[in-house]
Amino acid sequence: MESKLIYHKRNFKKNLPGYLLLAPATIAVLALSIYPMIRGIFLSFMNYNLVRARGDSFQTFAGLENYKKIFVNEIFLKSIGNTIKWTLVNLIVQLVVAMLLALALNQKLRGRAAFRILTLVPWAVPPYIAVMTFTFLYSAQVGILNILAVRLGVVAEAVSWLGNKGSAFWCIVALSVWKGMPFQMVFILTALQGIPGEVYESAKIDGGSAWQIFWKVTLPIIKEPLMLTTVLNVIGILSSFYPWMMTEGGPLYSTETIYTFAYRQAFVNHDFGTASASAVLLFIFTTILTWIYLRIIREKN
Amino acid sequence: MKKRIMAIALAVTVVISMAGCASQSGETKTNANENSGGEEGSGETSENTDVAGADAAGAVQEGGEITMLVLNGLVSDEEQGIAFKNVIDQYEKSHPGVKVTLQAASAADIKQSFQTAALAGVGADIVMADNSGHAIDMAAMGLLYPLTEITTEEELLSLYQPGPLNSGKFRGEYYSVPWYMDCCGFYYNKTHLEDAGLEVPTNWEELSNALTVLKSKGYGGIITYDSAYAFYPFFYQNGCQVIDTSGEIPKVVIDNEEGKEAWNYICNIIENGGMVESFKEANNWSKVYESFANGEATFLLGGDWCAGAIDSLAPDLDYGITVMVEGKAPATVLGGFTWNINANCKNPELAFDLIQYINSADGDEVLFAEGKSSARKDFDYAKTLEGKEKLEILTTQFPYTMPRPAIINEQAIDELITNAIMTVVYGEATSDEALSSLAQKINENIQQNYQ
Repeated sequence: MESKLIYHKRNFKKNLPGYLLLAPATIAVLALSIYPMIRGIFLSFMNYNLVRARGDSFQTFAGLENYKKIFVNEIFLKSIGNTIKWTLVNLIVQLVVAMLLALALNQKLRGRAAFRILTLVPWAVPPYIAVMTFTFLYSAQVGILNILAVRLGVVAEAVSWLGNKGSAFWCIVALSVWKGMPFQMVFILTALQGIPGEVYESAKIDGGSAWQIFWKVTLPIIKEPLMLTTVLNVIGILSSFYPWMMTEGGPLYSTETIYTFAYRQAFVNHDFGTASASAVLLFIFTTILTWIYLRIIREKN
Repeated sequence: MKKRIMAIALAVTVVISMAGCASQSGETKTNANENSGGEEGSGETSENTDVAGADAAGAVQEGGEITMLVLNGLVSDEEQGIAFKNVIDQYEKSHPGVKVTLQAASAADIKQSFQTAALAGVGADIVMADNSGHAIDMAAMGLLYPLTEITTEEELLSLYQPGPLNSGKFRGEYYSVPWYMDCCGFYYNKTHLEDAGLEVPTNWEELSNALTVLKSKGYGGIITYDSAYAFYPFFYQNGCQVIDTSGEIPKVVIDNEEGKEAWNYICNIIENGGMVESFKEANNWSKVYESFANGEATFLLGGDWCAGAIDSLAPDLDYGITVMVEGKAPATVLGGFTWNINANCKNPELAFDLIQYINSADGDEVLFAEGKSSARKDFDYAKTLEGKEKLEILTTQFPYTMPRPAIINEQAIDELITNAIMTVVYGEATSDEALSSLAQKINENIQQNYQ
């Protein structure tokens, strides 16, 4: 027993520099991620409307009241549909575009390095700058999109793309795809570059078509990194703030997602209880999506 | 399995951290509350009452440190920033032992920035706040120091215009000292009007007619910010307060006879294509200026700040500014900023003294630099309007300028009104349907925040 204790002590002493090096990051994660997360779950069961801070019920246990409140809120119900649409559209489009680009950039093209850099540019642009640029592009007054659409006769008069219910959502999706696609492309490209040339050569010798080679050789090999990047991408898409930055969830909540709803509840309505409840539901939503995705991958395995 | 756990853990952290981070700000809420407020609605104070009861002059003489959270422009190398620094320096010189520290935030962030710090029991001693209900929210959270602990209602009323002063009145208590004020005015494109053979409209009927004629000539109608701001005057002009905040619990009156009439007038303008396309996306003022400067809109509803932006965008644009079109009575809506004292402030008397100094004639150079009008009753408008004569007409509206309803979550109310207008814009509801749904939603909001 004593010798075990001495062993642990020695071991600890030996690893102390490592623990010390890890400490700042661990403390940061605990303080800035884990604590707020636990606090968020806790608040979702509390009466925590800041503008009612002087009321008797403030900071009292609310049970499932906050959850009940948001499920009768028509904006929240709308945001669920929008979130599903937002996630699926973004995920599929980003994945397809990133895959195509990665496949193209994996070929021996002239100026490949330049193309690779160019495709990474959207990733390097700060989100706020990207929002401003796209807002400008869509402007009813000076937007290039309108100028082209009018000149080409697509529309008779300039249209407020971000101001119309039918188009605002797709305008934000376009920005999100443009901004998010390089992240996925880099992962796929890296995975593609790890495939030895002999694999393709033997597949070709065996008479495989380009499609067959992609489907039966390339895809199974890059499946692992693809899975990881897709999961990360889902999280990024779900927590995207572009709908708020561009239209504040409007017009008429047509671009409201659960994430923007949570923000609205917290910082417009000052109700952190319902804001936390919706964030917890978003977490559950994320978990389910991730689980489904991993399950599909496992079944295919 | 490991990957799955990793992925799920990552998802948990990212998603819930958002709400959790926000919640941290509320943790020490009780402290701020204890400092500033007593029983609900009573305006009573606990610890700070004793401090405030002390001799104000003595507290100022003792000196101390004061931190101010102001808009970015006041801490810049621009004319207004330099003027503000001068005023602060003068105050420090004339009050030895007093040190003033300036912090800055953008107009969009200042409220949230202060709120987060004050809820944690700290924050700047003095904060600038938009008079569109920001102070009401902060007062409801118990973050502001009640002014009658330092001064009297009579003194405040004798010094300041009633509109700006009432914008910071919550449950019978004053929380804000008005600094500068502005009001919504009527901008018009002279070239468009001349071409259409029209005079500048002065009342509702003339405005409707002008919009019809302009449309037939191919000119656009009205542009304004995509909010309730510029629509309030129509209700006020018709004798409808939108929300009656005189009682303990606000009462929705937007759907009374006068309200209905004003609402139908607004909807009528919209249904007849009186608003330009850019109105749908005007979620910031830049888009409003652009639309008017580019000639898309013939009329712009906005405050004095629009003039500078229009001039810089289109220096050759021939436009005029006048008072809002009149309904049954002249009325317009208030804009501007106020000073507010943090409930956590250790020396509220000193903070109030500094505010009074900035608000006095000694601090007017800051307002002159931007052509702003003080909310003080004895303010010299001629000086601030030197070289900006075009704006003079707007100051004639001050006697009948009314604040937006002093109600908790005014921003949410504004959003409800804007959305109701939008349902008419998109043809999703008739004006009657939109109004009755709006009244119901505002009632629900009030119920949630007051009862």
